Amino acid sequence: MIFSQSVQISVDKNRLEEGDLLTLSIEVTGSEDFAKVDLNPLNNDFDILSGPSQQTNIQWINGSMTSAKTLTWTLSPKRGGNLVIPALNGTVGSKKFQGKIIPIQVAGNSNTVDESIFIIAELDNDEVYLGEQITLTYKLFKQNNLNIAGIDQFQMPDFKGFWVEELHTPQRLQYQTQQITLNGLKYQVANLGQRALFPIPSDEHKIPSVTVKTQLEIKRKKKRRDPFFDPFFDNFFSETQTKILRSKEKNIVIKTFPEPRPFDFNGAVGEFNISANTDRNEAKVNDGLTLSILLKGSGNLGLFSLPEIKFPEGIEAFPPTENFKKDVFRNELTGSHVWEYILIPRQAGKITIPRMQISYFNPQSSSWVRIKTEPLVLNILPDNKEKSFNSGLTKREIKLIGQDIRFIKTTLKKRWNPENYRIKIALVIYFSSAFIFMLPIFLSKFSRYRILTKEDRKIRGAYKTSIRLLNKTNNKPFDISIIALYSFLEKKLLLKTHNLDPLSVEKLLEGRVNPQLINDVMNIIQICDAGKYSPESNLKDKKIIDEMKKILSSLEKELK
Amino acid sequence: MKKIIYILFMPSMIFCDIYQDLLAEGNKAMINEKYEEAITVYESILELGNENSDLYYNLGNAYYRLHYIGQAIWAYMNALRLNPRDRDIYHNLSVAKAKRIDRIDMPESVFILKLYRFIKAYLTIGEWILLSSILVLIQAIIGINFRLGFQKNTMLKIILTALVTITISTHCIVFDKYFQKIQQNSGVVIANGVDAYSRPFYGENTVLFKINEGSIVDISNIQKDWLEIILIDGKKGWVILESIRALK
Repeated sequence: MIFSQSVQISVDKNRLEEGDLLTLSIEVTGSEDFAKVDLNPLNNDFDILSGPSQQTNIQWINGSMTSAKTLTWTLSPKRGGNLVIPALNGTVGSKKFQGKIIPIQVAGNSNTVDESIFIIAELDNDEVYLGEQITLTYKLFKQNNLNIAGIDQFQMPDFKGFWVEELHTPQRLQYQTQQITLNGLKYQVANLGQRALFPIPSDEHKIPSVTVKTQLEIKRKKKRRDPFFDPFFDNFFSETQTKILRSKEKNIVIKTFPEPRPFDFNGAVGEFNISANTDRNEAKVNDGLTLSILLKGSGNLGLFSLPEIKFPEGIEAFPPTENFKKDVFRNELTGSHVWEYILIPRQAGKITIPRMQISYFNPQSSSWVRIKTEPLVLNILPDNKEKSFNSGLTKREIKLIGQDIRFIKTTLKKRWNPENYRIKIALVIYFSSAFIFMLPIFLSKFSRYRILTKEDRKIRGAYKTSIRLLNKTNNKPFDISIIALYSFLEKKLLLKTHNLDPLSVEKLLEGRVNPQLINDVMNIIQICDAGKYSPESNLKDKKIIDEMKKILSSLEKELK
Repeated sequence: MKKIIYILFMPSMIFCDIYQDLLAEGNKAMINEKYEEAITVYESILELGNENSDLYYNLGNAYYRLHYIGQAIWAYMNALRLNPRDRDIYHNLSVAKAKRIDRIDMPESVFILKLYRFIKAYLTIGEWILLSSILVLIQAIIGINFRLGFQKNTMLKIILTALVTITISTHCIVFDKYFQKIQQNSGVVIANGVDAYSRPFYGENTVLFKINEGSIVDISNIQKDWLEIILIDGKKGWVILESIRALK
């Protein structure tokens, strides 16, 4: 006989109130197996509180057997309104099945909070910088008259986009001594757990909602006084009601860091101090030293690393050991992070360990702070054994170890805007050279002083050179005087010819000077010509030169 | 003549003391390793319209210390423009350039072209103008000499011809430099991973290439908040204005 196999998906009710529970059951008839169902589509609207629980029913009817295998889950709706249990896919044995959509109506607006008991996620800050601490506290509020019969162990949700540090986890539900009044109602408050959250780079930063299942005592309405059911017994036989408490989801706004970011910022946010020290300042070559760098403070310690240290040449450093000590103090995560390097000097002499610096962001003052250690100077003594070997003079070339920029210039002697200055000077020079070039024209125009050209100078120099010629002591006074006269005339009148004779001289001077002077000139030429060849004329030589000078000076005057 | 010179250079003489004090203040901050402070002081001097090679050099050092390689290269290039024969500036510029991510190599050129570029870069444009003017002055003196006829020998004539040739070529270099300065706007990329787009706006736009801090580019076009850049190897693209600092 072949049984028809069927799958039925059902809920116990489809109208409920917020905080109520829902039972989802999947019943399989006619199969030996339970259904295998993918319940992931439910996660949108429901929390699965418990399940699945298995149940098998076998019935014999008229000799034939029907078996029903049922799986049940307890669900809690996440919000109010019209919800839907989506079509669930699953398999029974080797067969596939698909369920139907079941609508669920959850009464009650999500905004109205049940005021008798609720939990909240308390944040100290919801606008933070990356790496800044948020203190998250889950608190249970309950009215005085309500009794909690039982509460599930509180489970912290997964915080996506955060680095979580535990601050406080209570072992059991404990109410604070002080009661809090909200909207005129007195509440007892219990701390369910406290965490320090540090946002890390991520797409979204959300505090997810958490659910807690509680069993509440319901006080039965006092019936008439019954001697057998006195209040004492009530406590034993009180009914309980399951209630799901849900905290709201919260969004965290991430603020961006103010620009510019320091180059040595590597994620540190909070308030820190850095220090470095070695266990001793003096060591021998090949003797180990310990360098410890201590970073103390409060903030996201452990979320960032130390910048790499550039150890000087001649010292060997081993990778550091890290040690992080947390020290939970109130709500802030404080502690110290120690890096320990083992250093082994390989060379004698003074070795300086460079300073380390790190920038962190201080969210309180919204500013960048740079902290640095002091450079450490180590005195490395030579190893006694090695000394004997190394005593000889060993010269080494200066080795270029690293490349760095050269230091700033501090002389302050440079001229400002040198290009403008140079161009200004150049302009002055251009103008002055143009001026120099134009100088002759200007001078002749304004002072009527003709700048000498070559001819000018010849004309002006004629008288002078001739007189100079005459002043020279010479034993041939007549020759000299006639040459002086001719050269004077040549230069003064710019003649090209060198062969002047008395006739041409007379022609040249005619009209230029008065006839009396022409006569004198002709006379002196004759005297000179005659004197050249007469032997007794030697006595007259002094006279002829003086006479010639007179004639030349009067010619100079006339021939202006 | 003296008065004219005095009037021409008076303003720079009065103000230079203030700037000298500012520069000294910046240098003090540099020595105390307060690089951010030094940068604000140096940049304020620049904003007031004053420059010199030492200022740019020190500014470049401050930027380099804070790992702003693009800004450092920008400052060193400006220092070199004002003082092209300084070894220190060359050294620091090459150190800063070695830190760049992108390395776009200049295509190799012919020897003569290289020589010409070397000569051209050896003096600043102001120095070239100054040199040309001095040459003109010498020629004017020799010329007036000829005209008045004091001296006239062949040696001087040869010298004058040589001078005329040199003067013409220096003026050619001046004009070459000047037109290059007008036509070619260069800039340095001062941000990392700058996207160069095919069009000057966001939206449906193709990223043509990415360019990193410190590269020297030519600016060929400006559109509101965008610049069209040309790389040395010929790539063209639009980048946002803030990612480039133009060289003066």
